Amino acid sequence: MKKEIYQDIVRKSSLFRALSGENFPFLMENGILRSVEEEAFFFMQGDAATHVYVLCEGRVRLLQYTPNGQQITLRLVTSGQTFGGIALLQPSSGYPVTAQAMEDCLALGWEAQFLQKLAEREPSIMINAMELMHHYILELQERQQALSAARVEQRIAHTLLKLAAQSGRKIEQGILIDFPLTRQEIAEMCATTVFTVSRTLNEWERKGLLEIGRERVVICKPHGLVEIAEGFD
Amino acid sequence: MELESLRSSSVADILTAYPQTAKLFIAEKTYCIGCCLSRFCTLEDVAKIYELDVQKFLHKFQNLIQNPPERIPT
Repeated sequence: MKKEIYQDIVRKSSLFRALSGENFPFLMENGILRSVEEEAFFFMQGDAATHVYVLCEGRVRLLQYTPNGQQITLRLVTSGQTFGGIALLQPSSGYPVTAQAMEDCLALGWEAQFLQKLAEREPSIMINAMELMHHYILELQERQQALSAARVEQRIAHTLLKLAAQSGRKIEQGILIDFPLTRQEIAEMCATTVFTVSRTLNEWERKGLLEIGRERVVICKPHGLVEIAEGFD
Repeated sequence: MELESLRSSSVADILTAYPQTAKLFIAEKTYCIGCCLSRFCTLEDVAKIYELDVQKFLHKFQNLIQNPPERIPT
């Protein structure tokens, strides 16, 4: 597998999109292509943060384990997105999350030391890393706000809307969320239980808002879901 | 822009190409501005969801796009 075919993805990635023409080939030369099978891991929470990755193929989920063993999905990474960015900023602190492949994945990775050296010549990398961090903070703030103020139905609706915005596809019946997600995973993302997710999704299906298949959701009435998410219902 | 192509344009495309139309969405009291599904809804969908007259709604967009308001010099 040649990594050159992923040039386009790297060039558009949020971390490297402003890289100058002269440094880009140097970046590609120094990247290593890693393939990780479904269910296997790129890195574990607490591992030394040695590499920064840009996902080229597949989907990765970033999760954390609570002290009592429950796992929490923090975010899902899709092709072109960066993960393990902490290695660039604070390698000594270790990865704060575990990165698990949801399907067979290919990612390009760079050693943190290499990127730090490159960043001396290409400050855009650091600015982009800060932008990424800012984006994460906004996302966490939104999540915190949802947890403290929104009802659980609103949180579930929000999560579905976000997934639809990220990877939805318009089909005849509505918007297909093209993401193999179990109810357990949706529950983790909304900080609730799988029972609540099931009850809520079934109710929405009865009302005709959704159509639910195995690891597949179609939003039939997008506007209805927005109303629930925003609390207009 | 033709009415028919307006009808099937997505809210996101219209807002990107003609940001001035944002005020029409607000005037009709829709929640389209900032909605994360704006790339999935066409203008026709919006009119139907909010029970607006589709033709009238599309005409308003056509008018605003064809006669952009004068810019205030900065």
